[in-house]
Amino acid sequence: MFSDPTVVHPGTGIYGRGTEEIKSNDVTGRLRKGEAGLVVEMGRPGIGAFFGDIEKVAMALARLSPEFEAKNPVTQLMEDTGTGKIKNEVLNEKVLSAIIEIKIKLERIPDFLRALEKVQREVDTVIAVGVAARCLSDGSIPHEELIRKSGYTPSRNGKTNLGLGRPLFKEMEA
Amino acid sequence: MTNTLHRQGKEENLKEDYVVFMTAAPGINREGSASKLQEFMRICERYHPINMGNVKQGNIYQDGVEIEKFIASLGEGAGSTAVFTDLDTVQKVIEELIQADLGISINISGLLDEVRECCHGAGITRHSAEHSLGFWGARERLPEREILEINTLCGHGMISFNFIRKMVEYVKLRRLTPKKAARIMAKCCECGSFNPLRAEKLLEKIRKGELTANTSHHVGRI
Repeated sequence: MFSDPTVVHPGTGIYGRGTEEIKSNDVTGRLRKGEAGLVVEMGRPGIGAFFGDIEKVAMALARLSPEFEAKNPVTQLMEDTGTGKIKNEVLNEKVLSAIIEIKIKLERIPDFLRALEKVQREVDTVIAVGVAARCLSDGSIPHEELIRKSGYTPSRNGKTNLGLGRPLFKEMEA
Repeated sequence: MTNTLHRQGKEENLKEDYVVFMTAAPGINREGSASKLQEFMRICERYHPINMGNVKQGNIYQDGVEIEKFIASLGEGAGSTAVFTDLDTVQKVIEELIQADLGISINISGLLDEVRECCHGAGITRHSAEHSLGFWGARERLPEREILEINTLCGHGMISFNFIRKMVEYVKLRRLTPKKAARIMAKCCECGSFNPLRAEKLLEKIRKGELTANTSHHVGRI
């Protein structure tokens, strides 16, 4: 299921290893003002990852107390989202890629990137890293500057949710 | 997943690569969304995308696909994707999608500042955005840039490094044209986010010797 995008994952209701992340944020409110989403995709591109390596990264991030996304296939394989520990029975399984998805406060982006910087040396696979947020009222992206201040260069290309979904999520109603 | 987020390439390549996709949310607007997904695809189709697809049904490069039948058989439960190669067309697509008011979330993967301008030109402000911070970890396991550039056009990883090397080799040997090789690779990308024009141009450069993609299999430890 983590390697095949054409089958529906029973725990998320969507295809393959995926999650909705910001694709439907305009209607779900998954990421709200002041929050950032960090997507850490283990094994991508093209290398694949063992859950043992995925656990190492999940546990390193868990020490900073993020909110692991519940509707995410990796979170659903955790024994304990407080520690990031993954069920023993899958640790030796290899998948094409798997996404660790967490929600954090925007200002904590540098802390999490530092933790990721450290743990990346301990795994034998590649990691595709993404950062997402709800835009400010003028359309600017609040995490951009925080990424630069942390010493990283955000990509010139990326994903934009246009905000055309309905009913539009309103934060005051939450 | 973030299947269109980490596309690699120089700015000149990325300027020819915009993925427009619709995603219905379960429990909110997915139920009964089939006709809206179909309308989304019909709007995109009018602007001649270089690729279209849906993970449930595959993409338009697969054998025996008739586009109108393909669109008519789209059901609820899966997002749909169209790839465009210039910003002016994307601007027109956005404007028509706003007019259509389908009520399902629409995203664009591409150069962020340019997409923001498109939104501005169409009278909307973008809602959310996501950046790639590139590839971390054991990067020594990654192949050379040209192979990676083609591989990342299919974020689900359905076009393996070795298959791309094989296509490069066939192009170099004149067994396939760059266009044919790009279309063969496009078939493998189930969701239709692969941009065969970008792949074709890269293969053409490799064929002419302007790029030197190494096709030996020991380059990346796969």
